[in-house]
Amino acid sequence: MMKIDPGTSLLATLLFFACWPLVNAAAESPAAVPRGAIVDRHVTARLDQLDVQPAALTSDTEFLRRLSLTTIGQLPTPNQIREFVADPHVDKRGRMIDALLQHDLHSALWATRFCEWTGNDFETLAAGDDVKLALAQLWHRWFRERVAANTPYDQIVRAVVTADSRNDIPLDDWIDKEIAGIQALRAGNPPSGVDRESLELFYQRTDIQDAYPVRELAERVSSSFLGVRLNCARCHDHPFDRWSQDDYQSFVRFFDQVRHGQSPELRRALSERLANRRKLRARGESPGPPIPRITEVYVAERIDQSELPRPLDGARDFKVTADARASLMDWMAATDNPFFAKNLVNRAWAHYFGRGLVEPLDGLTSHLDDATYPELLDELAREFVVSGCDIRWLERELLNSAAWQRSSVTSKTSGGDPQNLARAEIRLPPAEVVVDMWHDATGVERQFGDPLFRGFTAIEIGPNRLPDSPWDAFLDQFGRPERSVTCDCGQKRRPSIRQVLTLMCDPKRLADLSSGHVARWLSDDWDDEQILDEMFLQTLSRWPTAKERQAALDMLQSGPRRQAYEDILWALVNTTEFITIH
Amino acid sequence: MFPIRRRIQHAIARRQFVTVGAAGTIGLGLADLLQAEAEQDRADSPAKSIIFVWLAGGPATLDMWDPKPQASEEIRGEFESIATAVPGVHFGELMSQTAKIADRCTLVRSLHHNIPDHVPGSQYVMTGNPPNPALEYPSIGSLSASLLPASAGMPAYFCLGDAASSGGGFLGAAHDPFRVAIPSQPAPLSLDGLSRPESLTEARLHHRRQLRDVFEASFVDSRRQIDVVPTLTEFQQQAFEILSSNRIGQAFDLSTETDAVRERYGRSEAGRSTLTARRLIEAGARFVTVGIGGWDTHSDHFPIMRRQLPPLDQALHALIQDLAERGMLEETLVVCGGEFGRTPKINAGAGRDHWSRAMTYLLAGGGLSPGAVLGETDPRGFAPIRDACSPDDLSATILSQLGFSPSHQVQTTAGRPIEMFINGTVLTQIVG
Repeated sequence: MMKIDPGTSLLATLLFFACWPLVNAAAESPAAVPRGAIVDRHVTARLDQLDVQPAALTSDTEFLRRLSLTTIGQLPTPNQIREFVADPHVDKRGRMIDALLQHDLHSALWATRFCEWTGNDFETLAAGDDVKLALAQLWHRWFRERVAANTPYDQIVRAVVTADSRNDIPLDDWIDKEIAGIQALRAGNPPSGVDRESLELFYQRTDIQDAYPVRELAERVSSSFLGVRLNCARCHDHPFDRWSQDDYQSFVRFFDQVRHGQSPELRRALSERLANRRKLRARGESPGPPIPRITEVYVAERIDQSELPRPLDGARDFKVTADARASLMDWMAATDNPFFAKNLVNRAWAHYFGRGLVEPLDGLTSHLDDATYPELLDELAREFVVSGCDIRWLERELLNSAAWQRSSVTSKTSGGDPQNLARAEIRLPPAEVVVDMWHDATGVERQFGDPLFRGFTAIEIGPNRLPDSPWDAFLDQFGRPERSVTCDCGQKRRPSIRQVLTLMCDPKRLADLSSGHVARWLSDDWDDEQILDEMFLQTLSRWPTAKERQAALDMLQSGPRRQAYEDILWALVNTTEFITIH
Repeated sequence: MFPIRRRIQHAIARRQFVTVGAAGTIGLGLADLLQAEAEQDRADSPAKSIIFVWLAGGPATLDMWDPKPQASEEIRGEFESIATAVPGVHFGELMSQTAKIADRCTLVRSLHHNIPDHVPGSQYVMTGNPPNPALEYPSIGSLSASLLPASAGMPAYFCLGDAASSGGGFLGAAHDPFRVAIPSQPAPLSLDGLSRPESLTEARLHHRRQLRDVFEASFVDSRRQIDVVPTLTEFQQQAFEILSSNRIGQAFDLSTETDAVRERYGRSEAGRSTLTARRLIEAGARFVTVGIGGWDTHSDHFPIMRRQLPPLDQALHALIQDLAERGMLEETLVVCGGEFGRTPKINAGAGRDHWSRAMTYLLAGGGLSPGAVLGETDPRGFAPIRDACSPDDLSATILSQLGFSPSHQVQTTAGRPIEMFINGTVLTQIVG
């Protein structure tokens, strides 16, 4: 009954290596190079040099599971697995990669990551309690829509770094639009993010006028978009990096013109409107609905011209535009910027391979010497810029490589260490993905508290708090990142006994086992063999082995059928195989 | 070529050597090596476990343990000051029970800092480090529990009730406490996710485990030693031990105590949670934080104190006496205090506001000198005039009583080594 197909994988491997000569003869343009070739050229050279035999390519079922969990954050469905395994085309992996990169949830997973990088943080978002969740959702959607449209990465970042509220819309039109937007939000009807040219929410923080949060924004931009952790230089010259306190302060100055509140202009316009309302009322006419409190993110004029902003490693006479952030962004997005593209490549790499080529992810200057494949990082960053900062180009390059498609099983010579990429690393999925995996595996309906999230998977939610939802504590247990921290300091996912216990014995999770798939399968009158296949495919994304099938059948003989199925499902979701990406 | 792998192998070897028979606490990494090394150096440490009674909101320690009978009435307040078992040391009248055992306690009357805000103030006192957006420090509970050897079938760190900033910080969620809400009135507890619910019988859990082991084997057999697999395997074993031993459930079951003991602690929230804390420590937990709220008395301060203090006084007295009678006080450090004190001057609403410039901490056991009093505040209670000390110093002292240097290095989950209390100095004056 084993349906894992070593034949196909072997064939793919052979074909892949048969293509090798082509790689070396390929033209300069990335489009002409077989996908994945950049990665494999570097990795193969290194492994040859070390005389390390890489692990075999992973099976089709494991490939599909790994791909699905990392690109769209969901387990593959049993039918997807069956179709994929039965697909006779030799290029089916590449086509599946393309398909999942176009999937609707692909952008949601990226948006969740962007929310972490930009600090979509419930605690620091400056907004009324009645609209906070909706704005945090909008924050997520803003990124999601752009990733879905394959907006070049540099343009996405530019619209964050240089964001303001009005985006050159005439003031009166903007006020009208803002009033309508607030009303829609309060009605639980958040507007689309598409028509917001920039993400001013990034600057809409409590107490932004105080010097302290401005510093945090600078630290965040540096960590998230340049891969450089500057925080240490706040109080003293960086102990193991080249940044001085002067570098730090010069960088922070890029952000010291940003304000959140009411610009003098906006204040004037609003008081005019209020005066008009008074006039109307005095004449006995109705002034219409009241004007809600309106605030904006705006840029004040630079007063102190003596100490100007300067980018990292920037020249002393760096030219600054009226809104200094624009010149910062020009510097960041310049094709020869040493950090910007490399940072994104490293972060995407960490997502797909389990760890960055440089760790920590914001150690691009402090830990570059420890990089596992520095030349590969360089080349990928260069080609990423040539591609027009096309995120999907980068993903295709990573996912099509043999390095990414390797099994996690070690052979004697492939070594225990996944760092040289001779095998895949086994790791925990992000907290939101664990929540989705649990729902997929048990078949229970997703409910995350607020009606705003109706019908959402966990990776589509956005906010880092779920008021009134038991999943909030679950997400914390599984290591949801602290978005208030401005560096990549506490973001590693690690197992804990708490996680294990929750899945094993929390009454809410135990109840899930009986109410979803199991109830349906039993009422649909399937036979045991069918149900067992389905259960294994639904949880472990593979068919049961003969031994596993027998153990499950024995369980079914020993007691009431429904209870036995709950037991089998419990046993499946409490395995290491279920809870990891492998 | 494989420095990390070598370190890990070394750590495993060391760990097996050091904690034979006991379940380890955390995942593999350099942290384990540091831990294993540290454990060898701390065989003679005085304290083995800690109960931290956290008074959330900031208690008016002026009315409790540092009365100012000579000050004007707008500072002195309504309460008389009473003599204690230590000559010359006075408490507020509502602390009459703890006053009788003041000679078993150790007072720090000169703790101060400069953050009179609940969240960052709690962060400072709970972690022993000023709040820092670049680094979320672990609570002293998470830190201690991560360093001390765990016992099989029992998690190392519990938090009963509410206590801000009591989590694992940069040590990771694996070091968050096991939180259990204690109802304000006696009522059944929810131990969801901590112990085997009745619906899952022991026999059924056993069958499930056997079946799981069959499923587990096909994947794990060829991957036993790599990546997160060994850590997960260890945690799964520990989880099964916790579920089958039911030590957590038993520790929370106060009905097995005699009525006399339960009356001694009191049926109040403070009484029930401190008694539970003692039972958890007995069952093998290393650090229990007991969060008791209601101390943020901006108005109607005195009636609230008359309601709040007697049950706390009774519970602390019972806890310290009970630990002593059971021979546990020497090895168990009791710590009691909040994020700050309250304004000596009573406000217009008959309340006291936030005041971080002076507060008292009450400690007992764990190798501290009984009856010692460190520091003194001015006659109006505004600020320390002698031996002023910081939350860093208090945390350094706690860590030192557990057998670790205040500059003990731990690793963040991202692998960065951090010295724990870089600004903390051990308060040697109160160490026994």
